[in-house]
Amino acid sequence: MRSAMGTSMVAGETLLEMRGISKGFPGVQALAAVDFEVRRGEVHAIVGHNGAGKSTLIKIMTGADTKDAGQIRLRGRDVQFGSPAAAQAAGIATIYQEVNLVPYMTAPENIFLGREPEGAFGRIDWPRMRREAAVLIEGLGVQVDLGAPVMRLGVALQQMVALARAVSLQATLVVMDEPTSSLDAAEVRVLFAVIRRLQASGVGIIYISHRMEEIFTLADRVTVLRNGRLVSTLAIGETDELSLVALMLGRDPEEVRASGATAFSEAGAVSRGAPVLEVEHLSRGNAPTDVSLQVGQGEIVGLAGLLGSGRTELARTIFGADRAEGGRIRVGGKLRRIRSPRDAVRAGMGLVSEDRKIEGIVPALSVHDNILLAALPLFTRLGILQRGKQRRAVAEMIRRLDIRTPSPNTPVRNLSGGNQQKVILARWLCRQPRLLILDEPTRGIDVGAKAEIQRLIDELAREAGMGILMISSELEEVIEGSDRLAIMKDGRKIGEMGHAEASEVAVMQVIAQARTAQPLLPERAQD
Amino acid sequence: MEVVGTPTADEVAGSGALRGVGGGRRDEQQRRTTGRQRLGLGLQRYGSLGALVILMIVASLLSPNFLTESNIRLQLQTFCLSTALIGVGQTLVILTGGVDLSVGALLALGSCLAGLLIGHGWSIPLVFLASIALTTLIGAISGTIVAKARVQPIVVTLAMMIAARGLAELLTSDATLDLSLSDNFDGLATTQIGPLPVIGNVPISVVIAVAIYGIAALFLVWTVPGRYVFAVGGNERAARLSGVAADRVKIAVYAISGLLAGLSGVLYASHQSSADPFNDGTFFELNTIAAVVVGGTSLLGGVGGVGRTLVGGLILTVLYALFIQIGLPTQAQLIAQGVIIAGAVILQAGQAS
Repeated sequence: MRSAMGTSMVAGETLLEMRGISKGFPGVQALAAVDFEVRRGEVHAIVGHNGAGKSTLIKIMTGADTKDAGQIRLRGRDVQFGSPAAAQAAGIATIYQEVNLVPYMTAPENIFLGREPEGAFGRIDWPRMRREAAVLIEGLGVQVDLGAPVMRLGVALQQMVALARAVSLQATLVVMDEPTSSLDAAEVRVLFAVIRRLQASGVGIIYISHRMEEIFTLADRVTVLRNGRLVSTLAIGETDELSLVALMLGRDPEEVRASGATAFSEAGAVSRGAPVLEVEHLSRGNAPTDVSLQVGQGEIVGLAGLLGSGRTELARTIFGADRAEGGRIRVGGKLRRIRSPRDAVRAGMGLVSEDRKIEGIVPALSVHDNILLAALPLFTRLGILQRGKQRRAVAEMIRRLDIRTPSPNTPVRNLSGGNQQKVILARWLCRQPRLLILDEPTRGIDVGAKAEIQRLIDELAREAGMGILMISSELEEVIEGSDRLAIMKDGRKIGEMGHAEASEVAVMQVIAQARTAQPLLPERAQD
Repeated sequence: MEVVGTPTADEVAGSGALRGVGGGRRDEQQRRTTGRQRLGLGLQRYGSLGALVILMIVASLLSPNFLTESNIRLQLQTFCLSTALIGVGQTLVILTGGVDLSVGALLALGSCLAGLLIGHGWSIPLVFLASIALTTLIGAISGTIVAKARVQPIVVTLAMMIAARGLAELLTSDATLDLSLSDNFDGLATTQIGPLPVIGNVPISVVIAVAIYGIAALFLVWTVPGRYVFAVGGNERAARLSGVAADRVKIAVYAISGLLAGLSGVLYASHQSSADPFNDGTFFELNTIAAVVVGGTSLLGGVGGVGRTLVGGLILTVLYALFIQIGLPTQAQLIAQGVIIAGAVILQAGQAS
């Protein structure tokens, strides 16, 4: 598969050239002297972990942000984009994960928004607009209902409409940022076929994705960024998944390769106590797909996997935040029907969601109210809240978790991120759940608070005997923190390993070697 | 169990050092924001009360008759018989992040059903029960549509407002019902209770209003569903993930709003000695929203309370009375009201940012 290099395409002339691009934000050097180029008719993938600088690079090339230093040349001419509109006028189109269309307008209206074809007396020439839109969309090889508002079309076709708009704007460079994140497999195939057509017509495509298979299916070259620096730009035939993941993580690919095949079977599973959570064949759409998992009393099970591997979806489905379509869940050995978070809470679960601001805190309410939110019914007598008991519980939590707040009555939005996270942990501790699901518990938290939260998680399992299911994008955190690791890819659980066997290398190997999805495109013809 | 994930000595030392340096800075930052916060809360919590006091002083200076016992009694009774009760329902709904445009029409519906049933010779307790049951049911239906079908509250209650007014007209066959001959019912709402110590006789409508405000305030502070009202309005997704039955909370507040509108309607009919499907309760929905806003409850939900609405309602009542007593033309009254409501919202927006 790797050998199938589209050599003729790579030979195209240089379209966009970025030299020595630097960009700093307060406290962070987002990009440091990064070089990048795209050729005509090339699909150039950009990969890297969170904070690698991908988004910043894209923002600079599409005029959404400014650079501190460096040079951008488009078709040999120096350019400087002051706004996304300026970049668009120069022929750079961006297709975002969330499609940028007017939902209530039809495909033709969206494609020609702001430059509707005019007929006599300045009226809009509707038939011509529709005709031209039909030609553009046919050119992409897809079928779209031209009379329907685009919001009825589904995400994939909406992307096609956005692409048709890009084509009609004579875009020579199309930037796609995680375009497949909300597409199903069939839709991905349609998108890829369209990308191939664009490529054949000489358009350069920048493709950002966390999904390795997509990159190896589509890309001609791949650029790896890490911590704002350019690591390498490689022809796709010169590399493989394992090396690429190693580059992203900053490891030596040879060392990774040499360490050989380690065990990543189910064997490492050592349950501490009786299982508090037993998940059997849990499914919902693409993610999770047929996942079975156990968490024992006092055990910390880590969910590892790349972004988009379905970890959060699994957590949300277990917790009833998204309703399962198949499978069974037992909590404390008892079969439970969990159709809402309320059912999950009653069954003895708690969930610390990955987005603290949107799904965690109630910003205007006090620390006191936020801590008690989940456990409130436990603090009543004859329907009346027991103020004294509440205050004591809150004071105890603030002390035990060392929540730094001027008073329990301070609105929680005034606290630092780490302290807000402790408030949400406290919210669940008040309920003493049997199982606590933690989705990115230390994201966006400063180093000191992070260590405190990690210690606390450990304590909850070891001393309070809670079962813990922990998701973290930081491999180090899940590996060091977990008694057992479950590894996810494309919505499926692809392996498990015990603490002793777990290492970054082992996890990477499992991820790189697993083949779960169907091939995204027929293999390219050998040439 | 083996010790896993325990931070190494280095990490612990590192975090300790960090706490020493960074922690101090953070605490200071917190104190500063808290100072500002306190001022903001103060403005929101007591600003409207201060405005009411100032307004009353101004009123007594401009109109010597203003601070007389009879005038105060009159104004209080007017307030309690018009928008006081439905203001409580409106506050609960707004606290959850919604709005109830149907309260005025539901008041008319309650009034007209009461008028109709009195005409048919129903006993007064049954009349109350029937009218309140109907409007509560309609409120619950609005709430169910808002919660389950996820339609915007303003649309749902607008539709309900139109439908309820139509239903009221249907009940009375497009006529105003004259209730002045029904001895027990006519004037029931102005029955005096007492004499109580110090304040003497108090009209029953005022007693009911005080009781409702008291119960609502206690409900919001001392009960689980009351706290959930704030949580749902403050961050519905977080509330749901914490196990709060957000749908039930929403249905409940619209039902309560309907209940209070029905109760208000029956009292209104009794006070007016008539049931008028066209004019009873018109603009009350807007007046209650104004009272909620002027009182300092956020239209975005999650912040506020019924006490604030009481103060807001009294401010509007005093203003209105003052305008009349100083002989301001009606047009000028409306303009002044509009300006004051807009001003209150601007002040709120300033604090929020």
